[in-house]
Amino acid sequence: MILEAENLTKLYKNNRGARNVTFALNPGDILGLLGPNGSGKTTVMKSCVGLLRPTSGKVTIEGHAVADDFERAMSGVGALIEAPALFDRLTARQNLSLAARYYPDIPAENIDGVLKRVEMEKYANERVGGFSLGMRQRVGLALALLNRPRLLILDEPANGLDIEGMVAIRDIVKSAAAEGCAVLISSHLAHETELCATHVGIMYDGEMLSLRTLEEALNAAPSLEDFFLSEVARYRKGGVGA
Amino acid sequence: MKNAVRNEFRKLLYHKKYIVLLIIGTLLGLAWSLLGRVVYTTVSTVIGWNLSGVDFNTVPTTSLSFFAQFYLPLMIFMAVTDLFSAEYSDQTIKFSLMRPITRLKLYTAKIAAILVYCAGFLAVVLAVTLAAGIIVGGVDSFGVAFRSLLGFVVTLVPLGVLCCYAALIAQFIKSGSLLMFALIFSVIMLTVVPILFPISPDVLFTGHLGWYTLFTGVMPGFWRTVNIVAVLLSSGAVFYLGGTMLFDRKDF
Repeated sequence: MILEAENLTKLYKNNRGARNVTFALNPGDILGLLGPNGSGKTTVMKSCVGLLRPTSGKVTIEGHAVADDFERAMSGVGALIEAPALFDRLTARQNLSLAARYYPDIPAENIDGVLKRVEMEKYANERVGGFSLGMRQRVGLALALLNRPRLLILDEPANGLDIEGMVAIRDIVKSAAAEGCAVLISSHLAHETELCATHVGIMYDGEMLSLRTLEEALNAAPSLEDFFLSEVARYRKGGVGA
Repeated sequence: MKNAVRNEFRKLLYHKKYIVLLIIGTLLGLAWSLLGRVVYTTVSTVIGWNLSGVDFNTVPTTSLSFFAQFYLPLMIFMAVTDLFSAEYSDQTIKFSLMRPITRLKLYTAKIAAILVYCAGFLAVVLAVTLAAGIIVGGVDSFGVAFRSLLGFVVTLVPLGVLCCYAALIAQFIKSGSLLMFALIFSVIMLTVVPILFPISPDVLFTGHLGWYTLFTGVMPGFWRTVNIVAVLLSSGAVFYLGGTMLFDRKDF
C-alpha cells in the first residue's frame, strides 16, 4: 500500500475542514476526489503531505507515518497543491534545480526530462514571474514529477490549462499510474475525473460520502456526474455515505 | 541539511540587494579605515598631537561597531523577512515544506543561511579593511590582526541570537513590511528600556551586540564574559526553541 489515510480529521477554527476521511491507495491506483469547492479535498491533500497537522487520524505513506517519519514518508511523493509554489525571480530550471537538492539522487538530466514531459523545455530559462497561469501549472507539475514519485498528489491540476494542457495532464497521470505510481487527484469536474480515475471518492461538507471504483460508480449511475449528484442528494436526505 | 542551507543561501543571493549591500558595506568599511588614517595623520602631524598610543584609526574593528550594531542587524531583519514572512505570504514556503525535509531542519537551514551570509559579509569586510590597514598603516603587528579577526568572529554570536529572535517574531507576522517595522521597533525598545527603567542592560541580548570590544582590547574579567555568554546563549536557545515550536505547529 502506498498511501493510507485513517479517520483523517482536520478541523479549522470555523469548524469546517475534513472529518473521518479514510481511504487507501495501491500502486497504479488513481483516486479522483470529486467535490465542490470547500468540500475538504484540498484539506485532505494538504494533510497527506504535512502542510496541515491533522486534528486526529493518521496518514501513512509507504509504511511511514507522515507525522512521525516525515522525511522517509515524503521521499517518494510528488505534489502540486493549490497554485504552484514557485519563486518568481527564478527561471523554471532554477526552480527545479532548487527542488532537486532536497533529494539525494536526482540527476541533472531529470530536470530536462520533466520540463520536456510538461512541454516547457522552450521556456526553461525564462523567469517564472512572467509565465501565464497555465505555464505555472505546468512547471508546478514538473516539480511534482521531478523525483520520479511513487505517490503523486495533484490538487485541481487542470486549473488554468487549455484543452491541450488538460489532455497532457491526463496522459501524464495515466502513464505515471501505468508505471506503478499511485495518484491522488482532485477535481470539481466530474468529466475530468471520469476520464482518468480508477477509483472515485465523493467529498461533500468535509466528509467522504462514497468511495468506489470507477466501474462501480458508473454501474450505479449513467455518468459520474449523475453518481455525484445522487450521492449528494442521499447525504442531504440524511442517508449515510457508502 | 547541508543542501537545505545551500538552497536557502541561494534564495538569499537571488535577491540582488544582498550583493549590493555587501559591496556597499565593503566600501563603507574601506572608507572608514582610510578616513581614520587621514584624521590620524592630520591630527598627529599637522596639529602635532601625540597619538602614538592610539591604534583605532585604521584597525578593522573601527568600523565593526557600525556593522555589528546597525548594518548587519538591518540585513538580518531583511533576510528573515525574505526567507520567512515573504514565503508565508506568497505561499512559496510550500515549495520546501512538500520536500523530504523536516520543519526543524528547514527552520534551522534558514537561520544558518542568514548566518553564513553574515559570516561571509564580515569576512569580506575584515579582509578589505585588514588589507587597507596593512597598506596605509595601522595594522602593524600580528596582535592587531589577530584581535581584529577575533572581534569579527565573536560578533557572529550576538548576530546569531538576533537572527533567532527575528525568526521567532516572523512566526507571528505574515506581512513583510510589518515584520520589518516590528523588528526594528522592538530592538530599539529593548535598547531604550534599560535607559528608561531600572533594568540592567546586561540581561538583554541587545545590550551585547557590540560585545566584540571585550575581545579586542584588554581581555575582560572571566565572570563578566561568562555572564554575557550565558545571557546570549540562553536568549538564543529560548528564541530558537520557541521559533521552531511555532514553525512546526503552523498550518500552511
